[in-house]
Amino acid sequence: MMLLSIDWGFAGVVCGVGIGMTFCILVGLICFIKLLSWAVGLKDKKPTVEAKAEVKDDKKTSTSSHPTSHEQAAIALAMHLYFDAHDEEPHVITIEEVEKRYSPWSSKIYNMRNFTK
Amino acid sequence: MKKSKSNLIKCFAFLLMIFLVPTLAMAGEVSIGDKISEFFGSMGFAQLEGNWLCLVMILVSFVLLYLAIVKKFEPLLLLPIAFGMLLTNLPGAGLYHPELFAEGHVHWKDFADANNVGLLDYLYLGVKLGIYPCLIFLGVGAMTDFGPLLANPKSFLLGAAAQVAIFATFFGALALGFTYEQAGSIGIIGGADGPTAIYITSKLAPELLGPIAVAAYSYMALVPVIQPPIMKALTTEKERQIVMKQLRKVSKTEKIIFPILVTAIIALLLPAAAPLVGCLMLGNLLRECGVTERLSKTVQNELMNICTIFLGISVGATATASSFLNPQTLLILVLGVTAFALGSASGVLFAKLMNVFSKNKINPLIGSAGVSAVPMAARVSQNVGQEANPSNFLLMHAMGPNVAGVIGSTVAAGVLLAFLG
Repeated sequence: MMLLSIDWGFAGVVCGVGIGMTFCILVGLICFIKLLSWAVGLKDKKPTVEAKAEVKDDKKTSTSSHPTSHEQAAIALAMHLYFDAHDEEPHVITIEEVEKRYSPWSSKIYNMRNFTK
Repeated sequence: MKKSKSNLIKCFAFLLMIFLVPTLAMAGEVSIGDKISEFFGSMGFAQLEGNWLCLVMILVSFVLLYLAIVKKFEPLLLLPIAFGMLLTNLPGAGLYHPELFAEGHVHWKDFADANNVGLLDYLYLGVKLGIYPCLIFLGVGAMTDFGPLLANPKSFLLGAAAQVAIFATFFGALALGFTYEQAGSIGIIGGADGPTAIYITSKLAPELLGPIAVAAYSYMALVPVIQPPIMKALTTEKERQIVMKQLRKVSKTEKIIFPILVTAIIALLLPAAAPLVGCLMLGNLLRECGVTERLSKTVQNELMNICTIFLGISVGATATASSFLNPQTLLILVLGVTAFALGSASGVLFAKLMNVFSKNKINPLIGSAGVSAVPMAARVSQNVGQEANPSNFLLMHAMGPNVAGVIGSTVAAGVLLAFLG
């Protein structure tokens, strides 16, 4: 009798619209995020005037007598490996000792509440 | 020696006069015996007579305090709720008067008589007017990183799938004899979102606020117990071992634009969800924009903590003996755990369905994180995933559906408010 008194049609509409709206809004948000990431990616990919100038400079330097920064790094690594050179470490550990100034205001032993364990 | 003795006697005589003379003068008007019996009668112990249900509620509050302190079940909220429950059930304390909020309205005229208004009545106004849940959402937004969701937008589908439980429970509650408004409030427990559950219940069925809040927060604490058996039952060992592709890096611009546009889109489509979504996204914008660090810290810590205390105490205060100790509470607890289980199951099953159509396989375990118990549900996905494959890290993948679940449950709440409010 109790079950018959319920308007199941209305309940079905609430559920249908609820589930439908939740999915539609969230699917809409997926599309929106994809669009957003595409737009942001497009903006990032577009080379700016400064970036273009940098690229040009890089090309110029690579054709001139000076090696580029990558070439310099490669040469340095090759020399390092060839000469088997290592930095010598002093093996001295220096830890600065910190002077702790305890006072009744900062010391834990002067806490207001002492818990007994 | 003699002098001090005489002084002492004088003092004593003086005191005797102070107390005795007025008493003798008033002897005809007021009886001392009456006053004393009136004083003892005003004690809470005297009012316990014939009010033994209060004692049961006090015991329930002790159990909840034990769960919060010893078992650490969502202690930040369960402890204030339990203490509010204790305060409201102490006979004679008069801290909370349900009659001020009878029939779902605030009886402002009765608030004028300050003698009949308790502290918890004033605090409860924040729940009744929907202030605390929204302010807590502000803090939740400031603590949430939508990065994993933006990196893998498909997570939104898992967040939506888990909300199916809300509407399934709504049907179940209707069949068990609850009204539409009560059924909607019970269904929202399946969203595993405490502030949303409280917000909806305070609007639709305030008489159920106590049991629903206790059920929602207890089950959120029990996520590591409820979810793993369901996740294991619905997946194979091979599925649990799936390693997902690493997430892309999300730019700051995306993170800033996201909360602004989500608020606009959801509020325009579903105005009833605007307070919750608006606060959630405002909090997130404060975090992501990078120019309001002080505000972000405030909403994450001070504001959130203050609101949590007020919300907990005032929600606990609604759990009076008459509203809590009835068969309805038991039904709410059963429906609540069913809603939770259904939400977890529908998330896992939808993830499996997505794998049928998707090239990049997703681990179905992250589907259960679609219920928005942040970040507990995501942690459970990570732990269960690592049991099957110790080198698999699902946490960040699971955070996507987890935060999508927060948005999903607010949307579902908005639909329920629009239809039943």
